[in-house]
Amino acid sequence: MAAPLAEPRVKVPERARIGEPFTIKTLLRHPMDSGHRIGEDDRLIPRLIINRFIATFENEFVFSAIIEPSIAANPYFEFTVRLERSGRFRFLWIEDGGASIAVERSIIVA
Amino acid sequence: MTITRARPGRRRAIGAALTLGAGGRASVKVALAATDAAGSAIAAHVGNARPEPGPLSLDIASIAENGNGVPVRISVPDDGPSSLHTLSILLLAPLNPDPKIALWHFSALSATAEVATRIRLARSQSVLAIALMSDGTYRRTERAVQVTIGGCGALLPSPGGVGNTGLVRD
Amino acid sequence: MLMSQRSPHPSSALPSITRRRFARWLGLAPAVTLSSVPSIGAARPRVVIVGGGAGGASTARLLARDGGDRLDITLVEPSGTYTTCFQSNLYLGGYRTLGSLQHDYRRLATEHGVRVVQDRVTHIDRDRRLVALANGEADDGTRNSTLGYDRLVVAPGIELLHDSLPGHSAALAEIAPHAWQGAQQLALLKSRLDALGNGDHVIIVAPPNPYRCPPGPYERASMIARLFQRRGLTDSRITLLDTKTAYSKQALFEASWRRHYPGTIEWLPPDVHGGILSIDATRGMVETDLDTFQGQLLNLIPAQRAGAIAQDAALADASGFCPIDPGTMRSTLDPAISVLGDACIAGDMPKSAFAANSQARVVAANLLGELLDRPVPTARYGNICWSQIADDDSIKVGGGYASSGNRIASSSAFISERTDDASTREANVGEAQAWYRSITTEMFGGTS
Repeated sequence: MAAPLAEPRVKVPERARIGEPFTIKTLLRHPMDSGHRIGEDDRLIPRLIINRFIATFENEFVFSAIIEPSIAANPYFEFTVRLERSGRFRFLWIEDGGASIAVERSIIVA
Repeated sequence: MTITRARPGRRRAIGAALTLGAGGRASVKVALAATDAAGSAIAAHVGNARPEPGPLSLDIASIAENGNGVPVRISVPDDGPSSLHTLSILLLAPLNPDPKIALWHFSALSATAEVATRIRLARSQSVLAIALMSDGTYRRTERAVQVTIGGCGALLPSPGGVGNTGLVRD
Repeated sequence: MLMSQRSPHPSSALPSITRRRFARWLGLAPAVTLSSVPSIGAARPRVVIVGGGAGGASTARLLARDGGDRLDITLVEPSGTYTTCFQSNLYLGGYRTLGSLQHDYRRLATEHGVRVVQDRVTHIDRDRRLVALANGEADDGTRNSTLGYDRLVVAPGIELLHDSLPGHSAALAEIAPHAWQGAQQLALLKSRLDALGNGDHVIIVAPPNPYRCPPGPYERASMIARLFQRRGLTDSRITLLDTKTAYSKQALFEASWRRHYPGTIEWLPPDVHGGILSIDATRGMVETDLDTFQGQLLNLIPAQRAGAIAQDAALADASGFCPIDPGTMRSTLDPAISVLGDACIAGDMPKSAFAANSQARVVAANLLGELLDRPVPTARYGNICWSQIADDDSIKVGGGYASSGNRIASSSAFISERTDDASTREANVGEAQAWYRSITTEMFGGTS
């Protein structure tokens, strides 16, 4: 019933200066079925949403969202980061029921 | 990943009514009273604490053409050299079937305590943000949003705002 | 190609009707000076109409119908066969044939007394009351000929501003079609759609306000989704990159998309994609701040302004569209010229064929009042936009409008409901078809 999670779109700058704030933008295609909508067969479409988004940098926690059904479909999050060193980000989305998808992005900080 | 917060000396009081600070808006109080779900979500989050109006900005259109994807930006301004920082921001739509929208946590790697996203509003209401600060205090702010369906797009180009046919359905 | 022999502009006697009365018909204060128009009994007043679309053709037909042979009416239109932009999405979706969208001007010319000139107006000389034609032949063999007018109706439609999209151009529209004007572009997009395979990705860039046909890009996305469904292309999808934060009937479209085409259509507003930075049409790539989107077909619908002739004639203001008096549809920049349809600034009215046809009634009544002393009713306008989403699901929005202050303002409105039952949505489909037959009959004088 749940489609496999589709490749997210993530914007991370290729480089940043040490301590310089920059913005990260993330978008995942997902219907975020709230469980309140009635479908074609006049029955409630069961809840199926992304309930967690977690951003880490070199395994260190950066930012997270505990997500509820009132987040719009195709969840979009924009947040800021400031780094002291180069490395890799990992962005993880987790769906009700445990399916997940992760992407990584490198950044050069100098 | 489990995120834990140290909250010395606090007990949770499930179902405790939220009391507003002196500047509280009557409309928000009525809206909150109208939905047990919103009240208990807030109570579960803040326990016995009292969120006060404070530096916390909730940037959202006052008229939303479409309740399915309303852009919102919440930020706690930088206090400068002070060591006070933001641990989390909770966003609520008290009149939605699910009043909690999201709870965001920040870290030492966060440059600013700021998040932008898109939310669903089932109907016109006041959207409420509550920020938890590193000294254990809560700040809150709210913004009223009118949700319309919007007309046949005789919408004018935007800077000062949107001109529309005046169709309001809610 | 029908050509007319133009006689020189007759020297004008003072009209038998006073200038004050002319001023009232024009909605102007009596003190304004007007040029004179030949009185009844002298040479017929000449009305030249620039543009044979919904606005121009409707005006021509209404003037001919109600003015009969008391007026000398000339319609100048470059196309011999006119392909309606309205309902062209239904051709893309497989609901209509291209032929059913096409009409010619023969009946208008032969049965309704309109002189139809297949040509393009290259210049309007407002002082001498002449329009210059691109290909015209005059008696004396000069290449450019001119038409003199007493009153001019300008309905040139839109000009597409391709370079409003970074990296795009008119030439690249052959590769990334807009299909927002003209049969050639429409046929091009249709053939590109028919060539898509499973897993292919269509990217539509939707224009900023104001533009022709506000719900059009979203009806188009619906039609493409329907094509995918009919052809079993279950992995194909559509991304709408918008330059606006909201669009006409958005909640209704989104609800119908979830119902008919779940997961197929994705809409990204500027606050999500962060802005379109550049477009590489040959590689099918649209770079936004958020990410670069890759598609097998780009449908790029750029920003728009009033057609080139309106710009050339200095009838447009800084917005790119033509200001008009809301009670008369006269240009505020030239009292001898009426502007209507997509080219004009019509306040709360959208740019649609229905609106242009509605404005044509006011244009015609106003001219008949001034030129033939007919009674002129108070200006009232209306619009209905239908958008077809699936076989039995069409949504509509519309309303009534009137002159209010210095603009055309909405006086009443209606819109489809999310709670409409299936039969209501199905009835909208038939209603839109009936309207199409009715407006094209009015424009072209019967089925053609």
